Amino acid sequence: MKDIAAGLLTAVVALTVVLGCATPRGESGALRDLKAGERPTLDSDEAGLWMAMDRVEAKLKTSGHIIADPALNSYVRTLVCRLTPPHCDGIRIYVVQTPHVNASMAPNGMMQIWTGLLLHAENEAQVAYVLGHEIGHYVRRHSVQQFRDLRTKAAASVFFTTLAGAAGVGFVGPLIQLATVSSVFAFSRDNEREADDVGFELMVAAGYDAHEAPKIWETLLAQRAATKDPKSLIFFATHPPTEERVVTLKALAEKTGSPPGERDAGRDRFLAATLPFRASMLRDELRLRRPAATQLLLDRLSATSSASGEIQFFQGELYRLRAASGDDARAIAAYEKAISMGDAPAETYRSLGLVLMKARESSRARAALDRYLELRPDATDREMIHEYVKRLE
Amino acid sequence: MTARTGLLVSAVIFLSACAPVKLIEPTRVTVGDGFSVEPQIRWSSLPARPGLDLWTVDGATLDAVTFFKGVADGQPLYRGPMGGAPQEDKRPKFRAAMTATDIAELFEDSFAMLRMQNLETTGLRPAKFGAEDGFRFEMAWVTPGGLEMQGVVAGAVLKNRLYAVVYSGARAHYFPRYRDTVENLLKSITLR
Repeated sequence: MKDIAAGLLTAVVALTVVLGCATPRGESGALRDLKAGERPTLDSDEAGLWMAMDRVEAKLKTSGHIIADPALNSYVRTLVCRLTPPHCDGIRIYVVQTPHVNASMAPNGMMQIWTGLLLHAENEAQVAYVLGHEIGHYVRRHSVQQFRDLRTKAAASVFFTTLAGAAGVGFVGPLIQLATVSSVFAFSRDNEREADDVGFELMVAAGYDAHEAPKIWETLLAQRAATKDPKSLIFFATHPPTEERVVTLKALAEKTGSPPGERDAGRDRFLAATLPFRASMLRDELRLRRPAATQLLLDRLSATSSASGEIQFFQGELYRLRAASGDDARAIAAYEKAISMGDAPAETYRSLGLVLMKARESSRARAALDRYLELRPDATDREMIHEYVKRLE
Repeated sequence: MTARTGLLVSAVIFLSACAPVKLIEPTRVTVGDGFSVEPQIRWSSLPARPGLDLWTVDGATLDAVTFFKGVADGQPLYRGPMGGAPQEDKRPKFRAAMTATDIAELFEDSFAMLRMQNLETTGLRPAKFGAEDGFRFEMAWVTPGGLEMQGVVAGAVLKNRLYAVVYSGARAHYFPRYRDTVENLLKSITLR
């Protein structure tokens, strides 16, 4: 869910945008921006909204989805504080382990950053733009606006039912439910444009390279084109990626006067912070079983990234799991390439050995499995691997 | 997740209006074609997904024995419609040519599909499943509601079909409580 607003646009602009909306707003009128540290008064509808989100947040904290790693959390917090120093203390950040690309902000200051965003973004500037967008919804109090709109449409019961669902525990888990809540906040195009503006202004004010902002949308557009099931792309439920967005952001970036690459993209910091988690993020991505979209990601990573042996290993894993005709040979080639790069994980030898075993290449399979055992003498699956080796003799 | 919520969730997952809970007695029971075990204790058998049997004492989230009674080549472990999970053809599938390592990965990926988190598979090793050469491994995970779970998976591939027994339970109290009972149950497996 998102919300907010940043204090960068003037109240006049906010007033114009709000008055421009077609839906009736009851008595709400234009909302001024949320001040740093501000909490809604207890008897307000906004306080009810915050309370409902506090319950969702309590559930999220214990859900097992949260990555607690202090270094990663500190990195993300530093980024958010650089974007919005005044609101930094009022925002609670949760890094959520799930391969879907998403970030969201609840009206009570709960910010979620899904690991899929960290995997698909190329640098800190791209993440900063997305988080700036979410902060835009928050500071502009878009969810309160949305809630009041829904109330005037007599849809408030739907709203609270959905919130209650999100606060509860269900079979599919809170992530999907939170996404459902997000869809309640499928903001108007005006709200989205406003958040885009705020996100852009925040990233520029924080010194990031503005030319990175449209690139994250381009990445997502390409990914959508490669995915047969666009509904699986949760972020799009509330952030329709449009060519218009890309064009607008490119024009805004041109207007800053700085050429691409001149200002900070934070690529090295971003890689240093996220690389320790990349293997597990890629494993989560593979589990989505969307090889075409995953292939796009791997292509981009191998073109731009360090630790290439790891990426080649996952390329092999993609082929092995896809298991289409000819994929075993492709997997073998990818694993061998990974090994030739020198920084492949030990599991590369295990996967290579198993694919070779199926291809009845006994001696090569045995050599690969032996090598895995050599590198990982304490592997908990060593008994099984010994058994495979024995069968190959 | 509280125990009560666990029961409710279990009920939502496994109960349907027409299928009653059935009592399983401790003496030998046939669970599938040529697949039988000695249950050791009394279990409640809950209605389960196609191809599965599910037994529990305290509620399926707290402790459960799930029988996979011959998953055919090309089938996912979990069949039938499931809210939030991908369509059946997009779920990870069993292949008759899979190694035990592949099968452990299949369970892990299928659990991930069910929104389980922090999945960890350990101790994969050869083990008899009935008279068949099979495998064993342990799993640990966290449910979407935050409950820490443990599991042990035993299985074998016979005539191109996957037979397996999964014992799962809440790490605190429930999993250890029936661990020895399930060990004896696993020793009693016959598969023809």
